[in-house]
Amino acid sequence: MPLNTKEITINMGPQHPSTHGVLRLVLELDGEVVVSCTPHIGYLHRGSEKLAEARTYQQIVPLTDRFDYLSCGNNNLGYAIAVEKLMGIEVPERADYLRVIVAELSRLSAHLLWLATHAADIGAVTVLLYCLREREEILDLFEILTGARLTVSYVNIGGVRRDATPDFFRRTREFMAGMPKRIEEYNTLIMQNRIWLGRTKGIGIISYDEAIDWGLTGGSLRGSGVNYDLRKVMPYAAYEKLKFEVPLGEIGDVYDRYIVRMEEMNQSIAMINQCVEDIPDGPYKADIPMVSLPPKDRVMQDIETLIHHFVLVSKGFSVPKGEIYAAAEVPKGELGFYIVSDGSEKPVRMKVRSPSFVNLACLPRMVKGHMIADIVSCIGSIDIVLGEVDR
Amino acid sequence: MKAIEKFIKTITFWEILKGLKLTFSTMLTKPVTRLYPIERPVIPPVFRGLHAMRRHPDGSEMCIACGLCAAYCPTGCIKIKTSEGPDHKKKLDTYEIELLKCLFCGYCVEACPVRALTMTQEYELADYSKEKLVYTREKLLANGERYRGKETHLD
Repeated sequence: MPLNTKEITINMGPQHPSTHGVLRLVLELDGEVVVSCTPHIGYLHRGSEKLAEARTYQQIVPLTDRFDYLSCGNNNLGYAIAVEKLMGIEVPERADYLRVIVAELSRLSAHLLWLATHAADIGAVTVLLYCLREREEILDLFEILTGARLTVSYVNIGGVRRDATPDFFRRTREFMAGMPKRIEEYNTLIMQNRIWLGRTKGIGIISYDEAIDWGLTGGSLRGSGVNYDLRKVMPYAAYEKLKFEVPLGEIGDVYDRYIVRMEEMNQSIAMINQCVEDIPDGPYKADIPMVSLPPKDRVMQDIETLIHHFVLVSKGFSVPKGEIYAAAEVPKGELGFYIVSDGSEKPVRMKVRSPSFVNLACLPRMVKGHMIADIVSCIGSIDIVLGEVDR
Repeated sequence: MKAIEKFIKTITFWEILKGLKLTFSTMLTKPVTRLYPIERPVIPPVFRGLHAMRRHPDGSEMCIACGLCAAYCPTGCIKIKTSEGPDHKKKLDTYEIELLKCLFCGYCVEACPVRALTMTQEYELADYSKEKLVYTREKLLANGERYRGKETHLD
């Protein structure tokens, strides 16, 4: 006689430690096997795109910090290159290098937190403590460079906001010298661990073609073996001058995505080392009167500079009429900004293509047919930040 | 030979022993944890902490009541009221920074043409009521007094 069974529906989240924020998943379960999974989002929606329409181009920069609050430097950079492309501004070389340093440090800290939470979700709590230890040092570096630990607002239109001191370079060099050993430590803890392998190998497989079809970007895409990295495909800032490799996975399971991101950390370290060595002297922001504030010493000296300062601060600069799409490779994938300008000081529309949002769409496909516990490792492997999903 | 090695590694939980070796050796190193309220962190000079209004050496306020800080602020957390003074100069009546709205982005400091507004290394800003977190001119000037001679963010 067949047993009378039926599927049950349960909620996972929005208050669940493994959903990395306020993600709510509605799960249809057949026993412990996931039949369907529906992500419900919007719990962290702050209307950033709409808010941007009421701000000048300069004032949007702190807003971009709050998309993916774990890698603010990258978000600022993505926005800045979009506006610079629209205005046709050339950035000084030193600023380009400083941008890469802050972007790669952000990537490193974001990947460290990803590894920490991903490993803790699966059960390796020691890795969490070790990763947070190193992340703290990166935040200290941000503090010296930018004045803030998380919401750095460092990359501005036309350059960066302040020059790096020799002390910053010295501490970065010291930290980077010890970092490869630390990554080796994380690998010792989990890479060959049989529990880790059991929880990640063969889980959430996304094939090469499927990854492209779902529009995945970042580590989730490269885990499936697709060689697509915006830093190589459409180089921005100083990435053209740096030597680095794009790590690729093979079959596209959780383990491959993990390997790709671990190797990306090593590449980030290599890039920061190159930047610290090769950084040229020169101005750290473009000397373009249209966008950059005049030096403070001259403001109260001559009337033209004073008027210029007042107009630029109170009214903002106007951006030529047109529309632009520019994207940056953030730790989660391709963060794109589509900006429409009508020639005024504020954008008419700013659409943000957030990688976490697109990658999250693939989650139901990943977890289908797997156990309920595998959802946790899949969420960890696509590396979402809910602040970016909802914006 | 490979098979025997693999077999031994499997039954002895080799990779877990390796991990344990690392964790136990970490136990012997100096802890990185800071006992926070007792041990204070070193705050770098560029830190964007609580705002401060500065005074001239003769004791008069530097602020010229131009209102640029309020205009440049992305969240509009600065409220400023001005009137015409006896010598037909702009006079500052009230000045308020609502810290609950403040992003600590430092744009107000960049906007100030006379360097009357700076940011300090104060970071413990929690309080029990919203009213106390509206920093008035007097509070900001008092903070400026504390940091007199040690100001940063003046570039």
